[in-house]
Amino acid sequence: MAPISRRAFVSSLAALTALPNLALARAGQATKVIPKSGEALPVIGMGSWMTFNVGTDMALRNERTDVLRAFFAAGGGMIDSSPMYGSSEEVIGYCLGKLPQTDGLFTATKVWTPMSWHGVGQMEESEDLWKVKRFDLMQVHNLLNLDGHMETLVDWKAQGRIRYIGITTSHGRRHADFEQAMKKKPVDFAQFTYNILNREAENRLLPAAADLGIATIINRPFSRGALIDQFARYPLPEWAAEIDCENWPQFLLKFIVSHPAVTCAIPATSQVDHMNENMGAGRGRMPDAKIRKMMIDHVEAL
Amino acid sequence: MIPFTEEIYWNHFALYYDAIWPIPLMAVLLGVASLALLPFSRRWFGLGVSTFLAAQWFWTGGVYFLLHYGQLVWAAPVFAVVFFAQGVLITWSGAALRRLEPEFRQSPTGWLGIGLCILALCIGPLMGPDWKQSPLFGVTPAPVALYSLGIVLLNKRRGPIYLLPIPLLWVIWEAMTLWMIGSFDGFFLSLADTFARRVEILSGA
Repeated sequence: MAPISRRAFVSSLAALTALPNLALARAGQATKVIPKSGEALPVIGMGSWMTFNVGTDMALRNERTDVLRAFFAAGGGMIDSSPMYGSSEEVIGYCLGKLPQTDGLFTATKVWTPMSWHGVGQMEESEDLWKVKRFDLMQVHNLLNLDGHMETLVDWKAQGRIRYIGITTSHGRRHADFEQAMKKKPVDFAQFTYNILNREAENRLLPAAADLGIATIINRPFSRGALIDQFARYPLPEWAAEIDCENWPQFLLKFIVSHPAVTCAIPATSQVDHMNENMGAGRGRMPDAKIRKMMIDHVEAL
Repeated sequence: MIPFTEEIYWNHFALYYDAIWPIPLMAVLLGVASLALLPFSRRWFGLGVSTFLAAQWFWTGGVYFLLHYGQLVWAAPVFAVVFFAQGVLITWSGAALRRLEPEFRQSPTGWLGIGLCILALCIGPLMGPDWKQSPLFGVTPAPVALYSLGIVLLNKRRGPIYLLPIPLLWVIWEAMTLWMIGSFDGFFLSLADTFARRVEILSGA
């Protein structure tokens, strides 16, 4: 387990008092509860879109292994992928196999095919690629063949082949369909886009998740890096220190995970130093409603 | 949407060349020879160039897309089928119908054709960080598409226009890929830099 400084520990305790649904896990990482089970999940996870699709390039595979090592050392939990992401699942399996400890790992992938019969084979192939016996979370990617796959997932969950069922979208225009799916299907997790400049999810999806007791996973927290590029030239506001932000990635991630209906965010990165920055967002004090408003006003004025 | 980063895109070329070396070198030599022999075009020349061109499309479809690019992109088999189809079209047009007979012509179309063939030979190192991390002539899709467009424009008679859509679409797709992974600006800056250096050399500056 990674050492934690006294300052970080005290700051983390302060986080607990700021947001009542937060708790602490390994390495001082804040966690939130999965509503359907009560299980705690670190608020900062990891996505793998683009970054882990390195094929057979052994040098890059070993670099990604270092990224995952840093993730677990900092108390990371959820790793999310998809068969759509090229070789990402195979590379994640390679990296996990190289690491001596993966305590806290929460495996999440997706089924992404228009045919139900193919979905079964695809999910079994994902288990082989990740080298896991079962996934914690299996999600229907972009609602593709939702009805067909949901039957399989309900069956698999009953058999104990997966622990949770989820749905995902990365298309803002599908929020109405997505909300309907959240209401009508036996969903434990909902994954969608939400960030400081794209707050559409606050209108329907986040309130619906809170009402229905569905855990939420936030993708594209940096809008594919565009937000970091946009803000990097500006200094952080002085008051960012009050919520223990040392850099823009932490500022952007703390904004997301401090929303009461957000369970975790899954930034993707290919670099160890960026991973360490991201994981820092799960430590220390979190913004309350007043500071969240200040954060929005500040970035919109830049 | 492109499921890899700029770093991964350039690196995958180096791994590909390690696996197939010295095929890229042989392809470049054959490409240079095909242009050098253009002014001496004879009947057999059209057949030779058609065979060389079709071989590039078949190789890129089968070896590059299916065995290599397919690790990174789920749609690679679809691209492979399209490249095989173009290979069949070229074989049919060049070998069966003998309608592909390039020759050197001093006309705007001729110069454009020559320019595209030369660009196909040189474009790789202009695009990537170094020659090995870049799309090389004859074995990767962008140069294959550019060379094909050039050869059709150099045709004696009016070129078989049904050979144009697939290469044109691929050039557009390649440009979109570069733009989406953030390499588009770098490519044009590199091209402008090379052009400026050539002008400097020619003007004796």
